[in-house]
This record gives sequence, structure tokens and C-alpha cells, in this order.
Amino acid sequence: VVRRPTRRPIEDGYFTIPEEPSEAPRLLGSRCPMCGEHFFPRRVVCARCLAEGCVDVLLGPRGHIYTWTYVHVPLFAKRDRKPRGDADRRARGPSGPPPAAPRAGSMSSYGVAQVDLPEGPRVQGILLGESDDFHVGMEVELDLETLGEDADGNDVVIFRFCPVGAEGDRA
Amino acid sequence: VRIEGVAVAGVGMVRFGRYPDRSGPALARHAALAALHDAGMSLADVDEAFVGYIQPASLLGIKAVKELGLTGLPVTHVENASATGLVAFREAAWAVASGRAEVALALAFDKMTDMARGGGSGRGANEELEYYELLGFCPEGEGERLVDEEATALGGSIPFNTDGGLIARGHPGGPTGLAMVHEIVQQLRGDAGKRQVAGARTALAHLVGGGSVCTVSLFQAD
Repeated sequence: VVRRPTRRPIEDGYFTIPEEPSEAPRLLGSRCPMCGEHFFPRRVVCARCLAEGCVDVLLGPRGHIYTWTYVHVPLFAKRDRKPRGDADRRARGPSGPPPAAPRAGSMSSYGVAQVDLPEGPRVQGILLGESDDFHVGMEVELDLETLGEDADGNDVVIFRFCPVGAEGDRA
Repeated sequence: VRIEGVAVAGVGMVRFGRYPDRSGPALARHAALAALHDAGMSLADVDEAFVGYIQPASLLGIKAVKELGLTGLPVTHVENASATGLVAFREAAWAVASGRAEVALALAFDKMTDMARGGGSGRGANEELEYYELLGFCPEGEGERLVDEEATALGGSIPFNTDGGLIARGHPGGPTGLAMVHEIVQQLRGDAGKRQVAGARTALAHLVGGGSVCTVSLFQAD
């Protein structure tokens, strides 16, 4: 039995983390029971018709790229580092050494896309791949990107999009 | 300055307390919805919003109003130390008085750490006596007599802090001034229950902040 580290979201309440890594994560959204509009992230009051009592729904996992760009800077510039807690900040001091550089092979550059979900919301997220891998209208699927470890040794993950059929962490 | 033709159409609040599981904007949503329900309105009726909070984070006021819907109304963050909430109220009143808004929303919230709570504003009993005098409810040096004669107690000639004031109610900074407005509206409507001042027609809210801010609003029953 291969033990996988437990995965934790970078922030609760935005996406699911499937038990089975081959399953795509879903976005945690809302649907207005009155006008039927969908939202991401979740909300209580409908932004459109102002009805109260939106219900939780799962969104995605697939959508189409509305627009995208490419960033030639490492993602968060601190991948593979444990989250910076007080002890870490104290150790480095205000003028201490800068955070460690990302290791080779990490996301030293990344795409950012706005993706139209079939339910309606347009969601911005990071893209897995090289700069010539994407085009407007392309179908993409949600995936999880590991940013680092938390103090308890859990993998801290964020959602991302990758072209359907591409090899992500789940392959 | 007398502001003509401006009325408090509705009020709502979340009881002051510790809510570790609810964000500031979520608490603000509950209070704002209560106020809108009280006024028989929805966010669609509101032309402008003023949101007060002290905790240092940008855009939280916008976030709080986004919780209520996306109608395109302008939202302005107001911060004026302990007087934040009452200044947000003043700005909302002026927005209506000026004619640029028919309905304006004043909203305030705060999430304080225990440290901030302990080291917070020193609105204490001694200050209250001083304000009796400065506001002209008694001559200088006679604030103590006003208390001894129970003039400022419920049932006295000029009851103060009928909801317990900043000491008993708590003073989270941002929303304190709006809690005062909430209490005043309950009193002038005759809805204050055990705290009701018999026949209350006129009320005054006074709040100082950071030693350099002072704002006073006067209210009259219709």
C-alpha cells in the first residue's frame, strides 16, 4: 500500500479534494433557487436577483478558455517551501535571506486563464503547461497543484486548469 | 446643521460578541439584511453605501456589500477610529441630504483580537461624566451630581447609554456608532422593551475617536 500524503486546500471552501487522485476536483459554488444563476465562489444572497438562500452546488470540472496569458515568473515564487510561520519569519529576520528559490522542475512559469464553466461562472485560475499549449476556446479540466507542505506534513494544494487529455499530477 | 427630509428607514444589527467562525463581511451581511428587511427594502433600492471598519485590511467594505448582491452601487470605506460607525452614518445621511442618493446604507463591522480588545479605546465611566458637562447637560464640574441624582439613569430626566454603552455592550470599534443609532431607533419607536425611556422623542448620539475625532447626531421621532 502506497501512502499518499493528505492533501489540504490552500483555503477552505473553494474546491473539493477527491479521495481518489484520478478524480477531478470540483469547484464549490452556489445556485440561486429563484433565478437559477450560478456563482463561484459560494454566496448566500443572489448577486443578480438579490434572493436570499442560494444553495451549494459543485461546478465543473470542465470548461472552455475565455482568455489566457502566460507569466514567466515562478508561481508564488516560493513553491516547495513550508508556509512561512512566525518562527520562520523570526529566523530570517526583517533583512534575512530571501525565501529559497523554487527547485528545478517546479512551475517556474505558468499560465493564467479565465475559464467559462458550463453552469455560467467565469473562473480565473492557473494553467498547467507551456506557453504554446493553449488557445481561446480550448476545453480544460480542473486539477490540483501542490504548492508545498504545511507544518503537519500535508500537501497544500490549489486548483488549476489543464488542457483535457494533458498529463497532470493525476496521470 | 439641520438635515431636512432624511429619515432612518430601518436598522439591524448582530449582537456584539466573539464569532470565530464568521468573517467580518459575513457578520456585516447579517446586519445589513436585517436593516433592509426592517426598512422593507432590498439592495436594489440602495443608491450608495458607506462601510466602517478599523481592522487594517483593504477592500473589506466592498467585500461586505458584494455579499448582499452586485447592483453597481458605489461603496466607500469610512475609518475614523472609535467614531467610525457614527461617521459612516453621518456620511450616509449627507449623501441623502445632498440629493445624490435617495437611499444610503451605513454598515459597520469589526473583528478584533483579544489584544486589540484589551488595549482598545478607553471609553470609560470617567469620560461619561466629562461629556455630560461638555454637551451642556450640566454645568462644568457637576457631572457627578447628575449621576448621584440618578438623572442619567433609566427613569431619570436625561437617561444616558440605555443599552449599557460602550462598557456593557462592548466596543469593537467600527460598529459602535451604528449600535448607538440602532438603540436610538428602538427608543424613538418605543420598541426598547425593558430599556424603554417613556415618551422618548429626541435622542443624541455622541462619539469620540482617537482623541481627535468627535461626531454628534441628533434624532427626532416622526
